[in-house]
Amino acid sequence: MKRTRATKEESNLEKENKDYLLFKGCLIPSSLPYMEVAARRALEILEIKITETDNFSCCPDPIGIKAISELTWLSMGARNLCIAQEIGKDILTLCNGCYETLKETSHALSEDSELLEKVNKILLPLNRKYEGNTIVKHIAEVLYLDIGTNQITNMIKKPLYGLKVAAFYGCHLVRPSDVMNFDDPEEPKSLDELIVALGADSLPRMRKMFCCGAPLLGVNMDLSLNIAKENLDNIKTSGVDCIVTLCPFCQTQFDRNQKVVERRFNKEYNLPVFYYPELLCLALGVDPYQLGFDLHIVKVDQVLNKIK
Amino acid sequence: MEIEKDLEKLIEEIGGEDFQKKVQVCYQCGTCVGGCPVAWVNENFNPRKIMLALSRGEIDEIINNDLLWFCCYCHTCLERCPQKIPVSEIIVKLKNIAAKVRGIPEGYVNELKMIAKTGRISSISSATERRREQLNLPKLVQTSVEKDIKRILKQTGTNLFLEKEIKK
Ligand code: SF4
Ligand code: SF4
Repeated sequence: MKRTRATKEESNLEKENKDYLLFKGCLIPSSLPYMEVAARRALEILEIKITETDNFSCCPDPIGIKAISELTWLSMGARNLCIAQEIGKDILTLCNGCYETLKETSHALSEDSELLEKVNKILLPLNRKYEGNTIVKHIAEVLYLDIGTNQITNMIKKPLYGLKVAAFYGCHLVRPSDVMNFDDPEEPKSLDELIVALGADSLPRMRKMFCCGAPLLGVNMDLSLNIAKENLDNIKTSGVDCIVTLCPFCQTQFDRNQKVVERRFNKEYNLPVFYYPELLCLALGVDPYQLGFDLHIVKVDQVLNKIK
Repeated sequence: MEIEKDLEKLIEEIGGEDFQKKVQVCYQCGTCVGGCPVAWVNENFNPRKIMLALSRGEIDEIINNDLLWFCCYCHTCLERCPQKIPVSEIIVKLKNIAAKVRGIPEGYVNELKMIAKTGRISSISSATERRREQLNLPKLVQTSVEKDIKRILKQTGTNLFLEKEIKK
């Protein structure tokens, strides 16, 4: 491991105050509500309190909006951080994109006082002023560091023995590593360990840390689907039963677009795609009927039957 | 107005000493290409060549080539470059320039339109509402987030930019 992660001591300190401000993002609440259900249920069972607000905007998107104007991207991000600052809580995100934008914005504005001043000038007509240093965490980080894999293993009621899983971390959970500083950018282990904590196996594969290709959907469809295909081929070859993601963009790319890739390249993958909190909920004993699995495009029954 | 000022500053920054120092240490090893998922599926996209052109000051050539938009911003190049060149972050700056000089891909125009209108990139339809209700999720309350966002877009010149893009 090249980078140091937050130590267990630090995470123990936080254990007394597990109360986060939930940043739902755009895509999950509107298009993938089943991801929100699983995240909420898992946090509830693991006794992580959440506070909510309706005042957040789009994070905004670290690829499109940042490519158009870095200053617009930073200013919108800073406005969201201001809201967390006013409420006085750390942010918990459900999406890798929100995670990168908010964490990087917090990082950049805390390091560079000139830039902070510039952004605060833009926020002035909004009657907001960002002070810096807001803590932003991804739900995977909270599960891995605040709760810990031992505690998760202790709490599960229905271990997922025999289930073979492909861990799909997604780029922005770990890169750029000097900013995200959560797990290794090339050989991360948090998600693999979180999967193993449920009793399942996380199998190795080629090019595990490849981008899912979703950022290119609005730029060049062919390119995006070719990258998705590369991933799906490698995942299929690894011999898993399903894919596990941590991000709504990866989730969409592999669940909804799996069929598109199959049609276009005359392939058959048949790989159900779960958001990690969904698998966690199943292992914690949540009734599958509460989790909205019918909203998945690739049917998940084969996996549900296997772990029954 | 803001847009032109911004553009000038960006080009100054990229052509400037600090920036060039960063780029000049590129020894064309190609490590960035080896790990790039886009280069893997499209041999015409090549971050090494972008760095070479940049070190030669050929900014026009880079921004006139639509391939620039193919970078999916995965940061693998930034992580692996033996010279610690923040390739992906440099490409973002080049995209910022290309956006102002030549415009942006249509997908991004639509995304920006949505943000300007609602402050978010996806809308809440009645179907969404129904589905959320079935899943016992709390109702999404529409606040006037977009008023703040409009102000930000105005301050950063992005609203004028968007108007120009829509007229194209
Ligand atoms: S990896 Fe770094 S040094 Fe090597 S070609 Fe790419 S930018 Fe240049
Ligand atoms: S950030 Fe862009 S150039 Fe760098 S590896 Fe990823 S796609 Fe390639």
